[in-house]
Amino acid sequence: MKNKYKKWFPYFLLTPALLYYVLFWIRPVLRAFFESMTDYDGSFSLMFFSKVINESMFTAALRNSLLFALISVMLQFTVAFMMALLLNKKFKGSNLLLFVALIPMAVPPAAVAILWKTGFSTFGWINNLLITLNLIKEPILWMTAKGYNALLFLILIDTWTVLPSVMIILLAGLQNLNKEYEEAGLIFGASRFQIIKDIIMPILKPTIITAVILRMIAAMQVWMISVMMFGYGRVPFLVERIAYYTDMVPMLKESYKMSLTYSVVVTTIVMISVMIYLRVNKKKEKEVRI
Amino acid sequence: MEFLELKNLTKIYQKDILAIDKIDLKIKDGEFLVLLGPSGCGKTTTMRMIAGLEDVTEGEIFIEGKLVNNLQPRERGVSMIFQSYAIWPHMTVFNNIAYALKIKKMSKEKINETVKKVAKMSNIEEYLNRYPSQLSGGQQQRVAVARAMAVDPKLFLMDEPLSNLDAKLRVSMRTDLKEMHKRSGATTIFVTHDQSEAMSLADRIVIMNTGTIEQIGTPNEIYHDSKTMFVADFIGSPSTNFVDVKIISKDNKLFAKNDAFELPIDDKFNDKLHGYIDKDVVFGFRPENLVLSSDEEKLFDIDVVLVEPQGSHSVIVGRLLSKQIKIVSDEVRDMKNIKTLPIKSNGIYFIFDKETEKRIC
Repeated sequence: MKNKYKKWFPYFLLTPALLYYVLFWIRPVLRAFFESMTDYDGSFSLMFFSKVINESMFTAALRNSLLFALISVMLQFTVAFMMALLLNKKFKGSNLLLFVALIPMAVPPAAVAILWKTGFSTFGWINNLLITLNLIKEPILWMTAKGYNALLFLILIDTWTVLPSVMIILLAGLQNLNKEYEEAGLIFGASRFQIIKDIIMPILKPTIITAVILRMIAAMQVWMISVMMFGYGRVPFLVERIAYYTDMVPMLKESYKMSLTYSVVVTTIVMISVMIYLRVNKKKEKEVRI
Repeated sequence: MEFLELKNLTKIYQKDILAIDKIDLKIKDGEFLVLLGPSGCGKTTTMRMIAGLEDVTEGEIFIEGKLVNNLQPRERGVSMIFQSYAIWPHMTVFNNIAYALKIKKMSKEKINETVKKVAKMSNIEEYLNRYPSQLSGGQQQRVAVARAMAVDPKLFLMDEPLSNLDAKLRVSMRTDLKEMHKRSGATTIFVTHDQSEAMSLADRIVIMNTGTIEQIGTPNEIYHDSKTMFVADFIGSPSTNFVDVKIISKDNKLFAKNDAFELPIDDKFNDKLHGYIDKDVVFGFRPENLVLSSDEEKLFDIDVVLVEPQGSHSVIVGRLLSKQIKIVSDEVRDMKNIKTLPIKSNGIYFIFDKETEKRIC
């Protein structure tokens, strides 16, 4: 009797969380898959996938999302890692620097977009600053940026925003690292660069993987800063399309199914990219072991 | 010529914390030197400055006559065994040992040969393909030793390398280290807070306390000829018994007197004690220099508090003038029916100045 009770008790404790997941997570996800793969009358059809793929914005959205994810993750990881290495050294003012570096984390994405939008407007503070510093004569028309320039713009703004969160994960990892690993490297002849490459990065790998995956997922789902800066359709992203269909044109007959189909596409791409990343990492590890 | 010389070496942390206060030290080629002291005495800081892991605030470090203050650790020709071993967890034992050699661009065959050689010396040949996490503490320790030997250093630095091992392994590892030192002949500096480790390993021991050197000497000198109360107290287990006495003179004969006893002092000390007549000094008796006596010959009685059996001998904890006294004896095994014991001195004792805590004689 007592044993039986012991066996079931954990499941009993899990029930509320489980219920929550079934209701608010599994059900909508299954629903999305179902809706994306059926016609209006409920019969099986890949019509909406072909609709999505043939949509004029789709190619641009896919390209932008992938480019954005690739470039921003690499850029953010590199800069954040360098900042973390710097802040991990205790020096005068390092605490203040850490505090300043963390400020962007406290700013919500909508506020970030407003901050930069006012900055980049024709008579905004960035042009003002550049003119005051005598670097330019005429204001630059930032907001008319198109295509890759606009994308690069968004990457830089996103980097400014999320850098602290990436850095803090890496910094936490660095602070847990036994200082003697590094010192052993110094004693046994490694240069600063070799220590980072051969000792710190491999030992920190689990932390790095966590940080990169979190960033990859978030980068694939970027949309808000694009919409806030440029409005819908200027620099399309996959998730921006979802927002477009649910927010801008919710009354269209196809909108509901189009946004769900886009959701399924994004989810699939995110899962595939993460799997590829993990696979590549594992392969590298095997090579190292030999 | 000295192999290593420290001149006026000083370390100040954060502008006002004095960690090392102007120490001078000379180490001969091939010597096994132990830095011994309680935690916070500056022994590890001294070693880290020699290694180049810590900046020197003031003073000079010479290795083979060459000033190394501003050299990087890798330019100093030193090798180190860390307290946590610091063997890199993502590398196999082989790669851990080979890493320094790879950086030196040694040929593959030469690396293989060297790694095999040091692995054999450290008894870890069969673990070369394992990762550190798959090894026991003692085996990890051996990897750290092998890695340090592989670079064939002029100077070995060991920072409490045995403190993470269990008691039995610690004793056997220290024999191994000593043997290794005999074979390689490399100058070695060993930091520890464990006096028995220091005594059994060292050619010379440097006793440190609050950033200064208390005494430098062979293990026997340190024990039998302690220069300060700190050394007499720190070295030896149980440590030296200190008794406050007054020096008095009666008919040209000097006595140490307090409320419990009056001990005639050997005439050979008369000159040194000349200035201390009618003054308070501290007598230091090593536990084995207070012996059980007959009631007729006794110097004083101690109230026995407890007896700690150690097998070959017992430690008797007693009280004299409400101060704790510890003596060793192989006659008393337990404290059945023992309330007090008559004690006498065997004639060997230290006399310390009460103010300076330095030894008078």
